[in-house]
Amino acid sequence: MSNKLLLFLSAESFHSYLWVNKTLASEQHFVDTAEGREQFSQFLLTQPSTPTYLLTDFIEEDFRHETVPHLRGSERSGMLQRKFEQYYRNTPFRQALLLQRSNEGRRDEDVLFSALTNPTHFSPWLGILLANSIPLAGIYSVPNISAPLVKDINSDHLLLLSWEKHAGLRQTYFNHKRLHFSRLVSVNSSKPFGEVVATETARTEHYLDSLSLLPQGQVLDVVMVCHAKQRKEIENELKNTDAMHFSYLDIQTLGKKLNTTFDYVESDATPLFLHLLATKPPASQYASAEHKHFFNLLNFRRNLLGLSAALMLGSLIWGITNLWAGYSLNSNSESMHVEIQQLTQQTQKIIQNFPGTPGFSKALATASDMKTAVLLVRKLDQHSPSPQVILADLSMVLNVFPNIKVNKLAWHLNSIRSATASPEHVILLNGELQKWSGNYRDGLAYLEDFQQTLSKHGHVVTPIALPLDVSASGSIAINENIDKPAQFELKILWRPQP
Amino acid sequence: MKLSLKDWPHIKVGGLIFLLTLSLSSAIILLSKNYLENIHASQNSSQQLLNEARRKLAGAREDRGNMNAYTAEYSALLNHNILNANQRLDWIEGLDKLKQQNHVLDFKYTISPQQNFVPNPPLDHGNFELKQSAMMLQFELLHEGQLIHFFDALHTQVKGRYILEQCVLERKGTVADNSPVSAFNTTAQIRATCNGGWLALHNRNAP
Repeated sequence: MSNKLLLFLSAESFHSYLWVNKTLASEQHFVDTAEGREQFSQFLLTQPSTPTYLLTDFIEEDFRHETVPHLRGSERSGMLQRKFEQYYRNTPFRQALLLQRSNEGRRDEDVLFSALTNPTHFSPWLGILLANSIPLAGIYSVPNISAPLVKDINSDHLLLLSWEKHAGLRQTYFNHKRLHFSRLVSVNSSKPFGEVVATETARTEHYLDSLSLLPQGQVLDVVMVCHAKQRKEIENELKNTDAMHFSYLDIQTLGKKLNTTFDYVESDATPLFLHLLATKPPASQYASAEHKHFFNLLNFRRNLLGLSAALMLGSLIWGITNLWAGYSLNSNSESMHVEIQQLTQQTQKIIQNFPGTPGFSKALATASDMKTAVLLVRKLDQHSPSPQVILADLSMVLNVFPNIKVNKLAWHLNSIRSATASPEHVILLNGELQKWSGNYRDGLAYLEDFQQTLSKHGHVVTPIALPLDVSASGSIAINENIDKPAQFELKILWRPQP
Repeated sequence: MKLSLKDWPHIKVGGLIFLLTLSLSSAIILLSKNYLENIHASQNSSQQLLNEARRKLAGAREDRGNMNAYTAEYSALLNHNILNANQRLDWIEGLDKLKQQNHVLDFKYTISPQQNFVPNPPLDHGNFELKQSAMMLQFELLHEGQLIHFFDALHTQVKGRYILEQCVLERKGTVADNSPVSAFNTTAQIRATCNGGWLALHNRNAP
């Protein structure tokens, strides 16, 4: 938590404290004289940018409870402004604290209007703060910062009593833990403190009763913040009645509970309230926007610095991330370059060791061309097999059919594109039956047998002409000369075996 | 909060620091971004080079495999003057030699000018242009076996590659008397006419 400058101002005195490392320190007192104000001004020069909190404890602080309609925005602001003008026209130090809002009907609001009605007490000091451009965070009052002291006390109607050495006896009334009223009385040292407390407490109780803030027959719980040393003295004076019930909060115990490091040697609650101000400043306070201008500038400046730091940190992280990513990629690139070099060397080695063609220069043809040339010639050889290959099967079958005399034999590569990979050759066999007796049936059967045998050897045989065309579409001309040879012509399709 | 010029002395340090930080941050971000982009570009370039090197090595390995597989056959093609050659003298000398070997009773041949060769069905010939010098052969045969022996000898003894496309064998007596070959050896039983061509492969990339 950063340092703070805490100022405590009452009708009788003006003190400053530094809040350093969660501790009150360096208390200074300034008298309300020209010299005192000059000393204060000089003191402020040593704290130019320290956030400053002004705590006031005046008798002239007025409280007015009112129920107002629930409004928003400019309507609400206008309504509150009219109320301020109505009740607190002569002071700029005023505030409206929302106590609660009804859940039914118009949802009216319970509002506590309060004001420091005598600004002449602190206007000079305030003027010095503004003249020195001190960042004033707010102007607070003891009643407004007392709520944390009562939050754990189980009472709906509570009167909190505290004594500030330089101000007096503060009596603050809480209704259902909400501030409703407060008054400060000077403590006359001529009377016992306990007696003063008893007297003033009774007055306050009557006042609350007169305002009907206490329900009929309601017992007011009065809680006194005091030191253990003084408790006995006070206890002797404060007796429980039908209207009031007294209890005590040990200031040292309270201090420890609030984690203060201050050593309370007496019942002065000023350090306690200053601790509350430093650690839990309430949102509501009396300073206007004009009074808080330098505090807002301080926050703006700090936000700019914070933003700058965040921006710098973010950009450094971004930059470092990019650099790291780049470094990783660079390492990767280097390993790639090494691999490229190795691959290139391997490639060169392979190329240098390419087998050369005997008797010829190594650079005569690429491997791809070699492969193309060899496969091409192989394919062409497939397309033009030797006569021996083409006629081998036919020759073998002809040996088994000696009556067939071949007069003409022709073959060529089939020009019709074949659906299969291997080419097809067309063999035209023109022959005649020898030793034919003129028996057409025997002759045709012989030829049929010949064709079947060729088919079994993988040939596709189509008769073009037979000795006698006995098909339904053929014409028949019988010649009485039986010596005429029985001629025939066959078309045989041959394909190389895979 | 409303700011005015009077407030400048209170915020000038913070404002200047913010502006300076903004500039520095922008510079850091831009420079680091540029650096990273350059590294990315270099990385991409290196990756491309690596891919190229891998491709070349794979190509070299494939070439090595191809060479191992096809060098011998390719050498044989070179030896037979099939590649980038038009060795007509080899053919003529070879055919003369075959004539002297009397594989057939007699034969005549005619070689035509070289032309482009388009195989049927079409074949992928890569960087090679296919050429063919058509040659017609006319034979006088005692029997069809002589034809077979002749073409076997043509294939093995004569440099070059003769692609035989068609043949017609006809028993003598079935041929007309005024045919050009009737003046030949009268003991011939079969007359044959064969057509084909001498194949030549020209590599477009050859010097």
